[in-house]
Amino acid sequence: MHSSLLVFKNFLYLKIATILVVSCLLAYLIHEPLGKPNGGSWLGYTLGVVSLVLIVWLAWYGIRKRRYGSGKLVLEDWASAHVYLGVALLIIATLHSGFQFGFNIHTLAYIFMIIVVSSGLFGLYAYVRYPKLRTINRGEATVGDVWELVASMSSECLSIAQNLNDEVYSLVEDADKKTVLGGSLLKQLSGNDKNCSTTNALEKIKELAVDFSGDEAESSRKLVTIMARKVELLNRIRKDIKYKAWLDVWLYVHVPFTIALLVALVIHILVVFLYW
Amino acid sequence: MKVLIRYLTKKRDGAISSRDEEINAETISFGRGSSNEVVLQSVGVLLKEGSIHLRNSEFFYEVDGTGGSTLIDGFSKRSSPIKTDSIISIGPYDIKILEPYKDFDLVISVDLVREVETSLQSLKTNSRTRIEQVMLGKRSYSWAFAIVILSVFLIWPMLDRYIFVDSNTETNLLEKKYWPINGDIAWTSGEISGSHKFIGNNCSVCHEKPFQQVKNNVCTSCHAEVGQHVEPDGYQDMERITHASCQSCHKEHQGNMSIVRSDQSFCSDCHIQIEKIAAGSSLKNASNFEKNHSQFRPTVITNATEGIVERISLDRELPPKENSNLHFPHDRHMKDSGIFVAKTGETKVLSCSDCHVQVGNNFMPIRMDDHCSDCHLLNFDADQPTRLLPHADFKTVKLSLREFYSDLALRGFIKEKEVEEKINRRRPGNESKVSEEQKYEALEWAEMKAERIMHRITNRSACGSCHNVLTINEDTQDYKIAPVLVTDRWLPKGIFNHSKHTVSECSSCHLVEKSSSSSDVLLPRVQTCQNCHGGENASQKVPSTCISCHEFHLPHKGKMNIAVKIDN
Repeated sequence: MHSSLLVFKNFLYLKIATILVVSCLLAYLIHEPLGKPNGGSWLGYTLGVVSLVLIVWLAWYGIRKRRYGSGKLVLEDWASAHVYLGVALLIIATLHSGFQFGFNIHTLAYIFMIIVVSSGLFGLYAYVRYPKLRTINRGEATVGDVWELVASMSSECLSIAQNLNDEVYSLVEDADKKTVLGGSLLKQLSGNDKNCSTTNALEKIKELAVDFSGDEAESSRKLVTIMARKVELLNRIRKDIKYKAWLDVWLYVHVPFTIALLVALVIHILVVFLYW
Repeated sequence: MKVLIRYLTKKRDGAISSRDEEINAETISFGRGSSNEVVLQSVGVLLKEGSIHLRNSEFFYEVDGTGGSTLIDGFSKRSSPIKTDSIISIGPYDIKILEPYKDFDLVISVDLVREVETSLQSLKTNSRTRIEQVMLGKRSYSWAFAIVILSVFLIWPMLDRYIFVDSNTETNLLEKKYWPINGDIAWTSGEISGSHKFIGNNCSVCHEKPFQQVKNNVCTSCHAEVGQHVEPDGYQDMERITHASCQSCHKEHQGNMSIVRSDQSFCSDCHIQIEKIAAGSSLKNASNFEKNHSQFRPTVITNATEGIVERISLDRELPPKENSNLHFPHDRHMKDSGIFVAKTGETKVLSCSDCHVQVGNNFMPIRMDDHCSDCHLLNFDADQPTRLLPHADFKTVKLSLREFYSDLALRGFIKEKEVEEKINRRRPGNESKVSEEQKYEALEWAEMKAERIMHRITNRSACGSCHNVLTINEDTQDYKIAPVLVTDRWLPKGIFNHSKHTVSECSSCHLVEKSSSSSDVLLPRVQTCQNCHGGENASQKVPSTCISCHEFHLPHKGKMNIAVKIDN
């Protein structure tokens, strides 16, 4: 679905966006404004209105996508157009600015626009890249299955370690009770845990087991085998969490900055005419 | 000892089931390990936690080894006597000493009282697998952004600009006292031009009313003397120029640069067909200095006596001639062999700057005293070579001559033989005895001398060499110097900055060496300028627009603010 979003209807929206951008570029190149190119010439106002309409329409996607099955256009239309017209906005709004930037509300609105479009482009990248990786990483198991599997391995480790010495048992106990999947934002995004209790326990048990003999050696061998499998599963879950996090995190930039952009945009327009 | 161990198990429905086990042992040990009498299989329990001993008919609980976290009756002890109802807490288990029963030495119950999380529960409790679990919602961030931006960039500036203002003095009540920055500073649409920076911090100077474009009267309140481009009443259809908004040409907030329009099309839009647009004027079409600009038409004084000036093209068949009533042949002054400087008796080769002294963009006026009199000595009497006539009108000159010779005669310094006898009979030291007759004769002689010299100086060899001498009455020696009127600027509609052209020789534009008459208009033709200057987009020449030489606002066309009054 995600790559088809780009080729949707034989690149219909890419074509529309290209026509829009090329028209604006041509007008910008031909136009000879008074002084430097700026948002206050007739072309400046025109490009401003085009940008405004685009921003409002693009932002409306956030509402539209929650309303299933309404309107003539299907959601894929909206998504495909959202991507291409979002990129078009980047160019048209830049032309509207006339490349004049300063420490003011107008440039602030422009910066917000850049952040929103950039995060959107990252989102597009994420939607093309991560779902595939996620499917490959999961294999045939569902998330619930894997968690159950990890838990049962953990319990099994406890029971194997039952008759091993307290040092080993407390490591297995830590692995069982203190292992964390995900965690803070950075941990979720990184997809690994350098202080994973299970991994640490496995490493230490391997060292301790060298001195074991007889039943203990047999138990510890079983223990190490199962814990190693547990670690492998944990890391697969962590990868899954990582992919999901990257799929979600850009929206924490995209959405709040869209709101910031809309507010700055209203002030930008108001102020331009307040101090005409 | 014989011990009854009662294992209690809580069922899902809350009911408790029990399983009794009887053992005979010296000690009852507790721990995770299967070698213990009571095996406590749970996390948080050591392999061997401790054991109950019978000593002197009394039961003791003793912690094994380093021990875990066992509590006996709520206290952490290594060894303690126990009795009925004592509770030993090991990990999630409570071991309680029950009432003696039958022939058992000791009856205890083992109850898993503290819940132990399952492995799955622990994993789920510890883990945060979704971003929304570790961050505020998108909506919270959105609200926070919206509120901060609205407050900083709209509410605060509005309050600062329109609410916290003293209506009487129109001064801001807050900024000076508590906050040095104007609230509306972030509203600026760009850096203000250099010449307006001094009012750049006070937006209300120009932006008087909200949602109203800056009006012309704001500009003319300072720029009161700015002239129109055409007379507002001169042409019917020039409203777009005479009634134009200042902003339509002068765009502010474009950065630290001039806001004066200088593009060629600004002028050429109209002036490319100005002969048609302003048919009644003498203007010629122009659109590009190199490719479409008329020949220069200097304003020449054609009759200095009557003050008549004419604008004549350098291309006219009969070239323009100036009649300034002053004779000055440049060629005779610029000879390579030089000129004789009478004052010093030397020969000097003149350069242009000996007479044309440049100050800034302009030249100082040429004056007889400063530039001519070293050579053109106004001496008049060979016997008195140091005495000079004043460079003044003839009445003053004659009076000066009469005074000079009268003084000479009365003092008896006359060297002329025919009058010496009569007038010089007296001797120095005997002046008081000059007779009336002698006085008369002396004054008569002085008058005669003055008249004779007056007659001489009015011919072409003296005053007439430079001036036109008008004879009013030959008999009464009433002469007059024709009024001199020399052109200050031949091209008053253009601006020419000589100081920017000092790299060129004067003669590269002004052909003075071959000029034998002051009537020559020694102005270069437009082609001379076009050798170096091209139109706006010239690539091989100095790109020059109309504004390089011409001004838009012309003071003699009336003031801009008059049209503004019509506007309002």
